[in-house]
Amino acid sequence: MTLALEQAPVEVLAATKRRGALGKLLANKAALFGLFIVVTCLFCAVFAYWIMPYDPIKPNYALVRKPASALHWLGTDELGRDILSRMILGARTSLSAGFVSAGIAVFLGSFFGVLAGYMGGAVDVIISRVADALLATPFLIVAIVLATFLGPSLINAMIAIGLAAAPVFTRLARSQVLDIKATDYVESARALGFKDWRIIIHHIVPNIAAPLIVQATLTMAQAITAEASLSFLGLGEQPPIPSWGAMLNSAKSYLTQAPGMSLWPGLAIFLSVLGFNLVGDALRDALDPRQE
Amino acid sequence: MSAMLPYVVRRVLTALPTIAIFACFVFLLQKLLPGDPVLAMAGEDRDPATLAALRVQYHLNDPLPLQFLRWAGNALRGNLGESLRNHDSVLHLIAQKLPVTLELALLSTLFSVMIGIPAGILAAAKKGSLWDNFARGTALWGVSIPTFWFGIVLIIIVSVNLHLLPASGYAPISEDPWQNIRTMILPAFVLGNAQAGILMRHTRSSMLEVLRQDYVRTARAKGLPELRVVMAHAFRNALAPLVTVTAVLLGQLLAGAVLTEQVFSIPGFGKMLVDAVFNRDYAVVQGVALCTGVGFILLNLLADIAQLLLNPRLRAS
Repeated sequence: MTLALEQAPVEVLAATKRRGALGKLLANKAALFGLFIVVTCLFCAVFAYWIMPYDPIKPNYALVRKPASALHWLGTDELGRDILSRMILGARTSLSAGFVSAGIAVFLGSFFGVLAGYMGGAVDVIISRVADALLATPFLIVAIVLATFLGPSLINAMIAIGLAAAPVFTRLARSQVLDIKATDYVESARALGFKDWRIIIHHIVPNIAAPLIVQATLTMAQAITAEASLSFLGLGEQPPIPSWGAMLNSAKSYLTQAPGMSLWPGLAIFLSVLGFNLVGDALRDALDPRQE
Repeated sequence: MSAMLPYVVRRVLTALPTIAIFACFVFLLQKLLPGDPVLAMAGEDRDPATLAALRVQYHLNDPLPLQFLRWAGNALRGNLGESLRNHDSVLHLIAQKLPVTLELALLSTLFSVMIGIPAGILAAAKKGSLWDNFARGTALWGVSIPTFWFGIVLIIIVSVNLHLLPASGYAPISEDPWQNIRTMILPAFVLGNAQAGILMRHTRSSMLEVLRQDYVRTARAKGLPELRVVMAHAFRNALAPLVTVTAVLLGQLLAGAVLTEQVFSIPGFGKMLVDAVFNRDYAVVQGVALCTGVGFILLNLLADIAQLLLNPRLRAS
């Protein structure tokens, strides 16, 4: 009962804020456009095997590097495979890389960030220093180096990207926890003798979720670009499974003979990254209290 | 100046553990490798005596902290190991390739500053206008477009179709300055485009912050021309944070250079990293990672000090 009474105003306020943020988000045309792109990509990724017009893996040497036609809307690649089908299946690779990498980054980064912010002292110093050291090098370089040492595969690329992106969440979560930790309701929960894990899960995590969600959306965009970059370098998804970056990598050998081969996968990367960036920017504006 | 000294010393002292922890990471990466590194070194010779001798020679039987201290000591003396492929010293290889990437990074920064800062100033001065929306849209395009794809598209348009500039290759500036510029324009523009978007966003927000200040309102009330208010009063004060952003972006360019150099076949630092990745030349990968990290940390340090020099309020506090 005490807990219910204590949580009620906070939850009502949070629910009102969420409704307000959703309203702002839906009123933002750029965000809706971004959301449309993201949903389209998600649809392609989830229903890839139902909507692909051709087999994206099996070569067809009679159709090597054909231009766009009524049968093959975006043409065929160097092994005669339908580019549209490969792009649809590629959406699955890119989005899974985005979701899994961002998931690893959010979970690991936030876990250590909350720990550093809540525990303070030596734990905070050690975690913060490690996060600073990882942030000291450009994200993509860390991902490339990690992927090199882990070996070329999509799973390893996702782990590498997730680990490289995690320190941003550590810093963000830590700074948010430091703010929340000093609030009256956390102090009251402590005074009531609640255990630390209960305070963290019930009082701190819900209140630091908004900025983490915004950052996660922007990290999705970063992760899609990073996966495409690693695949472009041959460190991501391995042939014959399609990925937009790997498709660009093979297409760059045919710039004069078949420029279309380079156009479509790049456009797909650009649009999906743009979609997540638009949604992330709009979420940040909608959830930022300074915009009130 | 002397008042700044304690801050500078403190800032340098905080950078040192960051460098040490980063070096630790780079060292531990090699330990992530599956299998015994000695087997790779020995090649065909799997004689146990040879393997044991190699382990002793490379101190691989020592405890890990001791191995790290030895490696870090060598790195401090400039010995980053030897390339497995051509048996050249890693430091020598880096010294050969770094000037090419630095030239690319500086040219790209020039492009990004030339595009991003004026666009940001104009967007902030005309907030909410068509120009503001256009500039913000362009910035979003800049941060969303994958550099390697933009490079490929520009090669198709500018080099393959219009035959205006070479699609790839590199000529050292000391040998053929004209050809050097011709080969560097496209990659520098591609890299600069991505950074211009970020710089534009920062310039816009920094300018908007300053344009809200009372002294800007006073300057306007005194009847000063808008151009003077924006450039002489607002921009000067918005400049300090931009120095930090530009320095950080210069570091980020090294990451972008990896892909851009690959697309345009420029024999720089980034291409060396990719080649080392494919040749499993781990000493080179480690050396490049270490140099990039340390360079990035030092660049941030310099940017912080520069910001202090530019901002009298920071000096006072």
